[in-house]
Amino acid sequence: MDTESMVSEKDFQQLYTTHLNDKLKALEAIRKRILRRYFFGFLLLAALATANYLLIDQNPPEYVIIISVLLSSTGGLWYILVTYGHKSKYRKNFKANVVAELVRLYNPEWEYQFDSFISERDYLMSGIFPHHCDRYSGDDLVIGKIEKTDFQFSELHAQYKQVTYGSKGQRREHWVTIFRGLFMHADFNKNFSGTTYVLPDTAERLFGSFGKSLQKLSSRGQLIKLENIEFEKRFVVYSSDQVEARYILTPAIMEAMVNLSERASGTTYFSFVGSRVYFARSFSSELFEPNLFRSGVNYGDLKEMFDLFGLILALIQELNLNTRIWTKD
Amino acid sequence: MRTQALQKNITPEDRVNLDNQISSALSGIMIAVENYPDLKASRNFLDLQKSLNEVESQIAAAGRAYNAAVTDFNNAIQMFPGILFAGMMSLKTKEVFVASESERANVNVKNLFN
Repeated sequence: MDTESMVSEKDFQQLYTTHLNDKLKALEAIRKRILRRYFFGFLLLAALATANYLLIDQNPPEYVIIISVLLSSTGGLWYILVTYGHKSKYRKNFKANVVAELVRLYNPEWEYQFDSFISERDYLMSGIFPHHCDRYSGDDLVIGKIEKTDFQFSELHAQYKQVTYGSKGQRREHWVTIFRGLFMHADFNKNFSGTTYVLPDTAERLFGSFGKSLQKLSSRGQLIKLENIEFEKRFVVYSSDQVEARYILTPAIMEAMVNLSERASGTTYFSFVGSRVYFARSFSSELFEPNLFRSGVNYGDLKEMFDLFGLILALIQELNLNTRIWTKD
Repeated sequence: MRTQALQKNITPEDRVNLDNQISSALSGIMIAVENYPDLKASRNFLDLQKSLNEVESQIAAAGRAYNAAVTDFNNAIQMFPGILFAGMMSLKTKEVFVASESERANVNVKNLFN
């Protein structure tokens, strides 16, 4: 492993104690103020609701009720909006100052844009999640290059709308998550012309060998059976070409993929399209977000975020993407 | 060697032997090149090395694909119902391709440069 680009925990600790601690403490005041606003807002809404209820009890003329309810709901809404504005400013501050520093620790030349995310075109190009998206969003985009390998990394949340009709014919809309988590793509070190997918092997895990025969029917291409047992237990491979799939998935690469999937919780997906490698790891919650209810000056939280960015390095190093001994530069 | 390899009617066993001969000859050349530092640094030679690596990878991949197909084939003709058809079509189990290092004869490199 290239020790030069490896950032150790010690470096992180140093960054935390010298830079981040101060910035976080500054943000602490803002965070506490927001929490107070939350609490006050809750009280205010409760008070307004009670007041209105009591007013209605008095049976005044209708227009008084209407005005009162309108005024209190407008007031309540306005208060909520202002608090939300404060919260998003805090979040923006946190990301621009704290999270950006974490990224910079890995490499000052990498670009971090907290409100951007990988384009839908790239997401669909990977072919990992072919389902059409009705809602596509994300944040925490990192664009950079490690030696010869350029990459893009971001959090993504892709959903589609499911419309169901109840027994009485009521139309119900339901948002289903296609994918939520970290998505990354990088330049692969070999040239290839087809498509290969390395997906989590759910069928075999659930149904055993019967599941394997089910897997043969797929629109993604031919099922490829590989030699590495640990790899086969976790993943199922489809490709447009038997030989090309094995050209890409050498024994070393298969071992690397097993290691990468072990690194953290969540399901791991890979795909190889257009001489690029795509990687997705699902997470159940939002990442890199400041926790309002806990002190921002939290070493554990920040270390977690720092480690997540480490996935970029891990992918490129484990897959040896900088070893350019084949015909691709 | 090249003309032999390019012929279409060689048996799989011959093809494997030929491939082993070619690879050992190539590795012999690469070792001989160590004595020529200018050549090692030349752009053309580096490109040649890249092409060779690529071809080697592709051959290894093809070999693995062949082995997977042969294993499937061997399993199919030994299980029901394939075993019935195997008898009728007189299909025999095929051998798996192994690039055995030990079988590579040491090619005399000096002869190549004469």
